[in-house]
Amino acid sequence: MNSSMPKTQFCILFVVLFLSPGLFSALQAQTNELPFTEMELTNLDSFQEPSENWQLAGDVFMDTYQDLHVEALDGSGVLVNTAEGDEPQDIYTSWEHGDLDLSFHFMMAKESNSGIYLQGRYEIQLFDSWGVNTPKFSDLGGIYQWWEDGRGVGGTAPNVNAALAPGVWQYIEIKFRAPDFNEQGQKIANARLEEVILNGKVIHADLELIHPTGGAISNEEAPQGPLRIQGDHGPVAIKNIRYKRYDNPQLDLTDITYRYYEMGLDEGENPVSIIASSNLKAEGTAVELSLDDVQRTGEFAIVYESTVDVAETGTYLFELRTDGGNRFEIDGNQLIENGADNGWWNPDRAEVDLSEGTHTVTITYFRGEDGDAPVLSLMAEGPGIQKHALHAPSAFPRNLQSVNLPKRIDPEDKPVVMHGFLDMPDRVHPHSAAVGFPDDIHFGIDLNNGTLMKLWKGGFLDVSTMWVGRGGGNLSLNEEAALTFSGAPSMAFLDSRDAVWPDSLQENVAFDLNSYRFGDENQLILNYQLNGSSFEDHLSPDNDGREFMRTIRLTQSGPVNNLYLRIAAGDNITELLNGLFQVNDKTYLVNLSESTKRESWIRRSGGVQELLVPVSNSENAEISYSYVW
Amino acid sequence: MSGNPMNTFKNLRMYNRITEMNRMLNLSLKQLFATSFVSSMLLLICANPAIAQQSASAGERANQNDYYQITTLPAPDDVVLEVGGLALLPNGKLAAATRRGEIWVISNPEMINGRVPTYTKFAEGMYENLGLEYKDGSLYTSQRGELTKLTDTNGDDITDLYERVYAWPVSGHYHEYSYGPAFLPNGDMVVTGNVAFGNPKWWEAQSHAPWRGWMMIITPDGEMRPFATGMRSPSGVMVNDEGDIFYSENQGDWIGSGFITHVEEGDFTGNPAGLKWADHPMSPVDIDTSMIVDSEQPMYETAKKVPAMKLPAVWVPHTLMGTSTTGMIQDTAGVISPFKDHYYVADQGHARVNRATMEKVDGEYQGAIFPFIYGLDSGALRMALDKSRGQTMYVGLTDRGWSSTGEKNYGLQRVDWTGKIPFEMKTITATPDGFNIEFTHPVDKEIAADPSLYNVTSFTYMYRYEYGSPIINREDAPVKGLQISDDGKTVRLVVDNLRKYYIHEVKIGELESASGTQLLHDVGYYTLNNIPSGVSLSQSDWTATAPSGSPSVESSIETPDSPGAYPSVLDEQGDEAAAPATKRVVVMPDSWEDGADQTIELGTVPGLKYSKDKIEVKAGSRVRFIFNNSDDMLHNMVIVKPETADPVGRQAMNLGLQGEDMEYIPETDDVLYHTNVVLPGRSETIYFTVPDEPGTYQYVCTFPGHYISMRGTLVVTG
Repeated sequence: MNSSMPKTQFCILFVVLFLSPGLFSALQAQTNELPFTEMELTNLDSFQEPSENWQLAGDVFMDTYQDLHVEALDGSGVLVNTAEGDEPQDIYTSWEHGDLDLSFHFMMAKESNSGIYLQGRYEIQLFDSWGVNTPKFSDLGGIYQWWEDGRGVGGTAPNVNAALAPGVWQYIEIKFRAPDFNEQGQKIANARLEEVILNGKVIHADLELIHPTGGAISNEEAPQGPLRIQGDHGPVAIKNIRYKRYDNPQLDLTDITYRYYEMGLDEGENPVSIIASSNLKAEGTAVELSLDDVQRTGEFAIVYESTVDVAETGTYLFELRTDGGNRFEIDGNQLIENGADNGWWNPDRAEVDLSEGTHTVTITYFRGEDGDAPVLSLMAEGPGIQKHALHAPSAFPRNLQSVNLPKRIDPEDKPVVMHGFLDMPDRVHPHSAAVGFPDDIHFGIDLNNGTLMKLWKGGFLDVSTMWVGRGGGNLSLNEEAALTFSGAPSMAFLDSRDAVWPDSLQENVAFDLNSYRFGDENQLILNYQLNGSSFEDHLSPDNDGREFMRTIRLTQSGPVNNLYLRIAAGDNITELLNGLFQVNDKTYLVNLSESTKRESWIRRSGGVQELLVPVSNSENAEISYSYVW
Repeated sequence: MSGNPMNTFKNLRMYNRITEMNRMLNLSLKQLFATSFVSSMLLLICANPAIAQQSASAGERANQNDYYQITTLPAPDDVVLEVGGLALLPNGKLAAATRRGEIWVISNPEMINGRVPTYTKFAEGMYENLGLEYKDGSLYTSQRGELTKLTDTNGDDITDLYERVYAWPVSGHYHEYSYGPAFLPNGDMVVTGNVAFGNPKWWEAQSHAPWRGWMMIITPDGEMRPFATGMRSPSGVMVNDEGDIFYSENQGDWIGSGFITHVEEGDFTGNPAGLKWADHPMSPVDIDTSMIVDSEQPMYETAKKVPAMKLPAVWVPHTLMGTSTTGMIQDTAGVISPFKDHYYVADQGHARVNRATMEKVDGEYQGAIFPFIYGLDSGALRMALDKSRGQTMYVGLTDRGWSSTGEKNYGLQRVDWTGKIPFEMKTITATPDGFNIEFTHPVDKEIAADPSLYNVTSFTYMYRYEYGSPIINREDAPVKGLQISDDGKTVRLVVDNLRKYYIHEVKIGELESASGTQLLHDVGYYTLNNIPSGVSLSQSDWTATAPSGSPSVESSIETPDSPGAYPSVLDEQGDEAAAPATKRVVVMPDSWEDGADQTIELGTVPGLKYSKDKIEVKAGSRVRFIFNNSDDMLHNMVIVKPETADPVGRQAMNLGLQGEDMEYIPETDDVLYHTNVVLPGRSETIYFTVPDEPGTYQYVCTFPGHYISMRGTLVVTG
């Protein structure tokens, strides 16, 4: 095994895991945890007698540029607060919760204000904070204040403003831990937000909630309370409400015994298969899965046997990570086996249905020669049981967090270009640049074909992997909330308006970047030629850093015919009532200039919808549009 | 521009102190040897091998500081000069491109009146810039994927126009570094490109995109012409005063050692990865790739069969003259006047600059490489020469990712020639029957007349898939006689056993100039691709026997007294015999009936590091020690007594040609146990009993140039 390689892969892992907002829901489809419960939104049965301002809709339209505008469209699946009626009220779930993992999509109307009250008591603010530079407690994701003697007290602003535009869907993930009480009913631990992630950015981590916030159903804290959504301050829409309530106690391994083997291993041999009693060096009982009872160096194998009491019949998930070979059995059924080390950062998971009662758990761990301390980690999750460790901390002496300390580059007073290799879903684009602006809106572009590949807000770039060692890291965008477009070229020649868009530069296309510079208004100006025609391409933040604008102008006409620009592509593209185009269920919007819009059309081709515009071959013809999100 | 003036001031003062200490050290050693008796010398050697070693290399020799002053250019902390390119600007400022994609323009680099230089960031945001040239108001630099032209159009000393001259294909592998440009007389530019790595060996050179592993010629208008291939890690590219193109190469697969090659269109220079594109319509390389086969034979054997293959003009012997050949520059202006038109060749691993001279024999370049400047702060990559404001060579440094000797990881240093001409072999040129050595000063004819003063040994390297090569086919080339020119400046050696294609080490004993100065450096390596035709010296013209009373000659190579003491590396049994068996036991001793008490595994981390900084063992315990070399360089693992890693490392570095045969294990009691040199991707297991005495022992890689950073602590507990 090559000791240097896994570390490299580990770094890469973190780079490629970032996801676009459109993919957040897909993330949950992965089996690294048990599925969430999805709230039924074909009716309002999950809620206590909602007031009139709450209704179900098939979709919702909120005009990005019109205050408090909301239009609910027929159907179900989206919970809408129209804020209409004489006394719009908050809405409460019919169930109560303690520890809770919760995620949902939401849309804010322009200038609107709502909130999500955990246990009806602790409010995470929902607010139109689009374009706010320094967020306060009252901005989107803030923890609201409470009142003492008529004055606001406490309150916690989000770490960063991750708010998107009114009229597009945003996404929040909340890990709430309820306050804890002793038998006398006294609070012994504050409520806590283990993590809140807004649009892919961590806005709170391990935050104690020392007091119910303003407007709580009660200032008495309690083990349980309903989930509550504020309805009296303006329109909000919510969908895809997914949650897990954790009300059952953790699993516990009992009656642990171990057998410890010393052994050598020949290359290619499956270590687990050759454990033989002749190699047995020690055995005994153990208090926990800690490796503390045995010598941890050299080549060894250890087999732990134990029992576990299951209180509720259901599906359980086990997650095993080791730095060597392993095997995992329940009631004698083998669920996981690894003949060789596939990396401690690469866990194996198994889901298994267990009935109420006692089960046996057997863990076999083989460890080859290695310089570092051994790793044996077993995690479990079950019905109403939060994922937790079944091993002792000493058996997992590793940090799952990032290996490299980030080294951030953030443009302060002028825009910055950073060349590098850029990872895209289709491939690595090696002639790319990330371009950052002081307005905290940034983009990634392929300089070999002018394709806009990413747009993101907030922090710009982490160069910690590019500027260490041999410089092996690719452009590491601070792009948790990035819009990731296709890596296919923006411009292409089409024989007809129905021809399929190419996924790479066509052979008959010669794209030559001539130069780039920043213009007087800090816009990046690219000059390039495409089959003899010259273009000037302006890219810059717009609307005070809320939007991103691109203007492509033909400066010198050449024999350009049948050239088209693909402005957007996605599962769905439709024109909204305000003339903007929405992409992928309102993940982002596109605002075309009048002349560009006149020429544009939406088509379905190759399994996606596309917004296209022909590139005129008359000089000074201009295509101009903005991304709004 | 921000900077902390206190910091720069401190750096400057610190530097001065170090220089001062160096001077004092050399002075005191000189005094010591001037007055010492043989007995006290011996005592000293026994008491402190480290000093003994230094005495051999520096004490009796002339001192570099007398001729060249090295000054570190102080820079604020936020100016990270990981220099990948250097260019002197017409206004006397110096431009430095960095691996962080920045270009700094440095005002007052000569530090007039002791004033510190000032730094302006001219450009930023590029990708691993590894070359920089100035031409007609613009700077030209290579990024990983393109050749870029930068222009300040509004006169604010900051570029505002980035022009892409040409973007070559890259796959996105980190090792696809690109170098250059070097300007041809017609204004076209020469650029070279590294190969990527791949499977099955992680260091295997592979060309994942067209023209990786190639040299390209690019016109100012952005027309690219693939020019030659065979490049693996061609980190230096240069056009000389005749308009000929040279590049420097780094050891690796198919590259036994670093070298410098004169490149002509269609050449194939050694590493076959780039041949993947030989059939491309644009390729000028016409080659039968089936002739490129993995063998343990020298490179010239393949070249005999493959007309397109170009042999190095000058080999830069691995570990003897450095470990990683980088930038090259020709001193056409004679900044260091005795070496006008010579080539200065930097080395990253050894933080040094060598000097090369070339001549044309049978129409092809070949020549010699000599030591030149030692002791830079970090891995030397790029140079710029300034004659108009002094006799100065700027050297840009970075060792990030590879490590080097020298205490820093990056920087910019100035080497100022004092104007005093060192006594040096100025050139070595080939003759039909030996070599002409031209000296910078007339020799002391009496001393110089002794043929045994000159030691000539020839060797070469394998041409093979495996990473690097041992020295092979080493043979003596006895000096039969010599002739000294009337002016005393040239000594013509008549040599037996001259071998075409071989590297000839020419080493000189205690020669003095006519005025009593010692040689600053005593060795040069001449690559004898062609033996010139012409008239041999008639025997009546050369001196064959030493005059009586001449000093005895020291040879660093195999001594006649101990034939076979350091057997050829090709001798499979030889390496076992090379060092006392007890220090390297590769089979578990029979007496260990219960096996080892403990198995320890140690790996490597790129950048000259072991995988562990510290290992704990119990005194007297039996240890099975597995050393895995997963790096792309050669390493060993030597366990030494407490606080002896430095002296042992230095001694290993000074072993010279015999170092390789000795696995770079110096003969000293400080070495307790060791592995041999382990190839990339290989491992070696040794067995030893931990010393009974608890303490903080050390383990260190003694492969030349590695000991400074590649080491750890072996804590022996009671």
